[in-house]
Amino acid sequence: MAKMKEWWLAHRPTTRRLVQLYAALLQNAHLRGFVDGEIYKGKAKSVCVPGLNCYSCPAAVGACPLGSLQNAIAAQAERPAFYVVGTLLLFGLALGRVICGWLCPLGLIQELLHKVPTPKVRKNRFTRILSWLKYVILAVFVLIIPFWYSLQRYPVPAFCKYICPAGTLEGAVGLLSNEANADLFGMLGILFTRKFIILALILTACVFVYRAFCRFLCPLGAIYGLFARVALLGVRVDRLSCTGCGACVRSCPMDIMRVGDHECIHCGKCIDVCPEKAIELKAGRLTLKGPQIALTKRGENP
Amino acid sequence: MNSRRILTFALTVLTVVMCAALCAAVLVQYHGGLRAREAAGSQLIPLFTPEAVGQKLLWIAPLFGCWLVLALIAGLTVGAPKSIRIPVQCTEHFIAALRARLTQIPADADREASRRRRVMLAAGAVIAVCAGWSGIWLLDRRNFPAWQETPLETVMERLPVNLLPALCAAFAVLFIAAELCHRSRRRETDILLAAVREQRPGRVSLPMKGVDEDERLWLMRGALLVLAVALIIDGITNGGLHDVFVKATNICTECIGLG
Repeated sequence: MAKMKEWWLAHRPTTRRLVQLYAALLQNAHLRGFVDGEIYKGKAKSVCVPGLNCYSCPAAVGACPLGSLQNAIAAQAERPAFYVVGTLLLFGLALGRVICGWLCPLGLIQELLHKVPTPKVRKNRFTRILSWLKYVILAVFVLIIPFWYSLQRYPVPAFCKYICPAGTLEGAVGLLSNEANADLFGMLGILFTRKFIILALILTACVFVYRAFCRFLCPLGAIYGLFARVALLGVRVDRLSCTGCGACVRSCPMDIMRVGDHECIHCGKCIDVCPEKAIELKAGRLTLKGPQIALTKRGENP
Repeated sequence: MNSRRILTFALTVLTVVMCAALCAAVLVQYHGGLRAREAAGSQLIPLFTPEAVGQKLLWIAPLFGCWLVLALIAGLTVGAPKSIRIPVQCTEHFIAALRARLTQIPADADREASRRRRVMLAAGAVIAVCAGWSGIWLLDRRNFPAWQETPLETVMERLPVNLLPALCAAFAVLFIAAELCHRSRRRETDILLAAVREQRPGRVSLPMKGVDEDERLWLMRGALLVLAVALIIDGITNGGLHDVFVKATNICTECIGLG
């Protein structure tokens, strides 16, 4: 019994993991879709969800913000992409990259894959530089290519079509795994093969590298990263208490230069690591999570 | 290393190799079929039918199942490594904080800083050239001709040929510059730390400048919030919401890579 308790204490899910699971379930609440082999067609589909979650997934109850953005750019000749841009602005302003760390279903999948006990590739200067690649992907595949073809009134969601692993995993594999969609097999060809190879590469990379897709490729993370300074929710450092020891940056598995920058997903791992107890998870001026040890100490020695 | 960890690692590598072999086989089959079609002018035999996929998965599914079970067991019992270390922490703000403590900056430290500036300038120039080249190519409308004349696949195949060299060159220069700067920063940190210890012996504790959230940030947040709400309302009234609904309630086979 004592052993079991010890195991449970060592392996029990953290608050963040529970929130991630709940958010993934909430964004994919139409589980019946996997049985029927059909996607959800209710009114909720007109609302963008914050994380990268393919809207062609049989369980998805909301629209993917990145897919919606590309399609809105593709349709910009008819009407400007105000709705999707406004939604992304709202998400970025309120949550920023907290979405990546706490709400994104693909982030959860990547973190679970990274738990497979194999040798890991640690972050270094090179992974830090590679993290700029996602901005190139954002510019080329999400903005420029859809824009050029929108002038010809030909919608090309280039990121979804050529890269997106969420579309292949949740959408394509999710739909193809149901017998009711056997006719879709006839459509598969080289495009699917290429995308499947990309998915396999990304999932494999995630076993060895922490959140490989988020860090190097995800354009949605790149968009939310632009709101790092203004986002309402996120980890904040008390600059007066900080001694610049760098324990937070060393313990962080993401390619951050400092806590709360554009690479920080606000997971809060650094909160308990900081020897000065200078880091807190805050929503504006409200503290959501502070250093627990500091509170105990404060309680003992007021 | 734990035996379960070794077993999981070996099985992971085996599964990855098998998956890669499967993908390679499909690609070879596709290109073989393409050549056969070109030769005979006949219809391409579909690569994926439920039967064909079943046959392909038949020999990989048990291995994948084993890997999944083992990974789950190992994940629950072994656990992933918890700490991730990077060798030295010597960022620009740490150096700036060290410099702020000194009344007289050693000449060697200044030399390192100017060397770093030169490296970054040179790297910046090369990256600007690469970015400029890519930008000119991407913003040239002739490179994205009408889809009725040039198939999209042809354009997408041309894209990496034209962009990858510049992208690789930019990242290579960035890697080299980062490595050089890192070494220079380490040298400068050592010089500055020695100077600080000389002036004030004991543990180096460096409080940084206080940058509190000021009112300007809240004003910016307010302005952005108003902008976001206005954009959403305008988007709803101009039909943007309906567009998202239509797109999201129909399976976009192109988006999910079906074709």
